[in-house]
Amino acid sequence: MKRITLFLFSLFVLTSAVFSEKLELKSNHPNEVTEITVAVAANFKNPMEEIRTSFLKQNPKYKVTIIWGASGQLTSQIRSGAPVDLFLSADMDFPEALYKEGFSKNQPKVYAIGKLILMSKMGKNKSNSIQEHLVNENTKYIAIANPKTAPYGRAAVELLHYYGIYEKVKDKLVFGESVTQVNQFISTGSADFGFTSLSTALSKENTNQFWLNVDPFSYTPIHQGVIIIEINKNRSKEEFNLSHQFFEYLFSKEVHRILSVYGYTAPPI
Amino acid sequence: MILDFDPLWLTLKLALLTTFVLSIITIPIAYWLTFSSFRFRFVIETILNLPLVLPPTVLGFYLLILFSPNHWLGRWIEDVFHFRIAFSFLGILIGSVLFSLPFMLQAFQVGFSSVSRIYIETAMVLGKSKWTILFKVILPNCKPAILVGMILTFAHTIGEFGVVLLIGGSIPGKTKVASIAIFEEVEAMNYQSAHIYSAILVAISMFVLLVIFRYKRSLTMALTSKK
Repeated sequence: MKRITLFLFSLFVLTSAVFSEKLELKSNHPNEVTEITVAVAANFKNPMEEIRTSFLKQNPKYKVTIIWGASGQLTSQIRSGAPVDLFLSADMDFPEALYKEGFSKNQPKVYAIGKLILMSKMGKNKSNSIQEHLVNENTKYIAIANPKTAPYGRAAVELLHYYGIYEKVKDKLVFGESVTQVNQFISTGSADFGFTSLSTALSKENTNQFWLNVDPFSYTPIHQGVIIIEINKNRSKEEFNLSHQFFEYLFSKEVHRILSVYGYTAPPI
Repeated sequence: MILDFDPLWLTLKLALLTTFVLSIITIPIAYWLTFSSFRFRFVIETILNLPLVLPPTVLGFYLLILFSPNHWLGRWIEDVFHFRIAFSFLGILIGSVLFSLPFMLQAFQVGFSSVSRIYIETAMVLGKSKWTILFKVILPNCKPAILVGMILTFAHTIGEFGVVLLIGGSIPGKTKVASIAIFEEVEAMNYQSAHIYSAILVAISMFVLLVIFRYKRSLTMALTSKK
């Protein structure tokens, strides 16, 4: 028993020593590498990893740190002074609000457009229409993201109205706080169907057997906006340039190629 | 701004029911764990205390899998009862009960083991049954511990978020409790209603705890004097 205590104690001392050294390193050489911090909506995780990799391949001497989270959370963090240089939201409202509050000099710009699809864990008849699938009495639960807060949820509600089945399926709806949670409802099979993003269907982790494209005119396009946050940091000139460079890079041909691979449409130029 | 009182009512209902159900099922579990001589008791104890370390969302995710129609258990429930536990009030109740079980259990075990062995052995010598010993000797002698367990569970459930979020599906009037309503209001940038919900939650919790602490003695008497 004593030995274990001694071992744990020495482990604790060692780790604290290592960490304190790390902290010191940071404070002694603040300007070794130019680094920017990018806050990104979690639904954009897969394409963003690749965008970062390809950007750093071209600019190896920089560092790009990413904070993931729900757009609303990230917005609150930026408001409370989180040291963020760029904010890639899952919608237009949050960056718009930040812009109006003076966090950015420029209006949000659309960097990607999401597509809504209908998905199920079980194999379903592909030839049936969306209405047939959803109104069917064997369909007990349909998962959608919260329409109050999530763009994909709003789009799903618009679509149900467009097809004229909202009233019929209203009581089958269950709400996830984000597309990510809707995906959990679908992939566990707890919900029979769910409205999620095309990027979910195209991701490597997707094991769901069935998904169906929806009429692109049935909902308002899901625009995702980006802004450069101007007021939270005392930026060096290099950091300022790097954040603008990264911003420009989001609209490059290379990134547009990555977007299409992950199920997003590039914004019209 | 119209405030919906359903989430608050649901939170209260969930907290009260969770406390009630847990009080009943934890007593025999704690009794057995405290006085059994089973060799692998610590294994059982470990499993029951897992919710302490598991992130609530993980617990919720496992329950979601368990209750889904693709799992034998979920399918069986659906076939027999024509009922899906996920996305129902019963679902979030089961989640909350599992999640708060360690809190209740810890408090009860501490209480049970603090009861003097002399009383228990005396009762045994007098040939009293295990249940008589439990209700007439042990429970009356650890009222404070039972009360602490109940208060902890109640308070814990009021703020319960992760498990309910995952198996509840945020259905208004059914599974959308106050903590989730607050989260959604913040996400939607309606800070005012989030503040109001939060203030009401704090007020309710304060009130309940005040009443409990004020009438502690009479309450525990009422709890433990029934057969």
